[in-house]
Amino acid sequence: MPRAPCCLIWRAFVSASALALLAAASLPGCDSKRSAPPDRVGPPEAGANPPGARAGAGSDVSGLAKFLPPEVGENRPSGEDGHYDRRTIFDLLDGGAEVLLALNLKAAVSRHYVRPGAPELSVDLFDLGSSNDAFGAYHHDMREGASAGFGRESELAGSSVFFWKDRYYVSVVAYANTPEARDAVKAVGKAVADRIQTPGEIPRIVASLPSKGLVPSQVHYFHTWQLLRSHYPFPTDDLLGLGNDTEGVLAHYGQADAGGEGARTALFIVRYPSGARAQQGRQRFASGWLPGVDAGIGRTERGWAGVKVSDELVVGVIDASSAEQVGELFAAVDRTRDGGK
Amino acid sequence: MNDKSKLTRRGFLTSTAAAMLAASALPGCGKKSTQSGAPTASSLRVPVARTGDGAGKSKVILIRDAKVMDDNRAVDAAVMASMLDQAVAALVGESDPAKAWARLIKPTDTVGVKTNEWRFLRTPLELEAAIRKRVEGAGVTSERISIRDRGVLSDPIFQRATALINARPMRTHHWSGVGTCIKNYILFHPAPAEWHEDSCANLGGIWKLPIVEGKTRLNILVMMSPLFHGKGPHHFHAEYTWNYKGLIVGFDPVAVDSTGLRILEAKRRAHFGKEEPFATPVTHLRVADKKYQLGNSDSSRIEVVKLGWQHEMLI
Repeated sequence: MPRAPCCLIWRAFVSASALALLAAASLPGCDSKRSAPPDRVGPPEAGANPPGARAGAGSDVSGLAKFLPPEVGENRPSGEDGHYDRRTIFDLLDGGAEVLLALNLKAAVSRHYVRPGAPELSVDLFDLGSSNDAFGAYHHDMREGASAGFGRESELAGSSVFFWKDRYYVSVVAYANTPEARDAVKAVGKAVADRIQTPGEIPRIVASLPSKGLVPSQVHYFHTWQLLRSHYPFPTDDLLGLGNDTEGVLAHYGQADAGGEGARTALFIVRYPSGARAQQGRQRFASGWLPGVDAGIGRTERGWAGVKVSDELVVGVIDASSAEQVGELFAAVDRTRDGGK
Repeated sequence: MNDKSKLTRRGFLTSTAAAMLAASALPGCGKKSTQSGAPTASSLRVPVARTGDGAGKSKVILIRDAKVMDDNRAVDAAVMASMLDQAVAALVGESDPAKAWARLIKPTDTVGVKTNEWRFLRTPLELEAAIRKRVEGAGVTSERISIRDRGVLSDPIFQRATALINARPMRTHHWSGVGTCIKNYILFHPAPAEWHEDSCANLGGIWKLPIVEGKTRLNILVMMSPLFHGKGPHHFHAEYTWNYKGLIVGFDPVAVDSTGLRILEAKRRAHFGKEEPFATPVTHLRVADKKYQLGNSDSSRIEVVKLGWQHEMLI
């Protein structure tokens, strides 16, 4: 039975306020661009455009349509493709655009597939520009479902499948949950994955995460403070001095016995462009999160916390059960930094 | 950041509660126009009994019909129209649906039907057709009726509308916790994203905009196949929908939405096996009640009239 852990509840709450600033900077209201798939099978059906997507005379400027198969078994394209850029992505996504924009979304393509007697499918392929950001887009959500067996990583969840491969994040969602729909999303998803040749690499900074106690479903990649705040209830003020030139990962470890409400210990690692920026980031976090704590490890209302700097990396531990756990995680990161390289 | 208490969940909840109390005392928020927060007689321009027991409760109609939708979620238009008629008649207190609608809509009205066309879970076209038929039946000519989601601000009918009908499906939502009738009016603002802060807490403020205020004659929360949980870029998973086959209809949008919220909460308890808060806290209904005084969010002040199919009603 699928569950939504308590920590996710709180995590997701902060996304609403943290990402609102991003949303305000990129307002909706622009027409989407939908064009006929180049290798369509049969004529478009009258009125077949998906509700919520306005028809337009767009074209496949991004070249992403080549990753979408002309047909998969009896599943055939319906209506016109939707083509979106950073300005028009709000026409495709209601609520999720800000996340992808914070991960450097370049463009997206959307296509619907239909099969007689089966629920409609929606395939959306997002070009994030790098495998790091494709990883980040995929791991923005918790990933607890079984692998679908294709893509660099994938999750099969009922009649939906999500995966990332190379620089692309792909969502295949059926409009109804039926056995036929579950089979179809797998088949269509695999066909898309097969058209992407390069697997892509997991971000190097993720390899710095110690494996002991790691909760694999809760590993989140980010650049900005706003996106980090979507995973943890940090304050509005940026305590780390993050920006598009930084990258980081937030991960959760086991069940904490301090902090209450089922909180887990969280570890973050941020890579800055320079050691000087990292020093500034460490100082900023220490003064904001651990005021008056000189040693870098101290107790907060939510549990033990610590922050340290190592070259261009800042490593932080929050909501730990003890000072020893903070120290152990610091030492583990030193051992596994950049995958032990 | 010197005060760590500001960062805790408990601290947040405390400060939110305080903010709600403070906000309710702010000038300019207005007073409830009726004891229930339902539209005033002057806004409706018709004498309609809008409340339940006369003790400040808001009356909402929850109607369900097992035959309104088949296993493939194809909607039976006749059953949908009948459900709407029964609900409106019960809400208004008329046995004849045509007479009930005549008390909501005047022949001289210009009517905007604010729908919702989210591609995964849209307002059923059959419901839109049923609304149009009844509005036309009330004497409004077709050129003075517009049914629309996006583009309402540039729609001349909506621009000069004297009456609004609000119809949308219930679902969980990435920003606001749940998508509701209150939230359905966000496109009446030219910059919707400006309402996203704090899990869209202030959505009720949209109902104070001149293009909206005092015009809503009816709220219809579609509970055909509600979404009770979501993830992914679209926040949609078909497995987190179920065939509830219902409509919640009322004058008080907060009461209508709060009733839908109770059903979603009950469904989440049943599905997850425990009390499972929404991924994003639902704050905008409480704020719409306490700050904007749009209606009742407290179930003790809502009279739910249940009609039709009773199986697994959840409340």
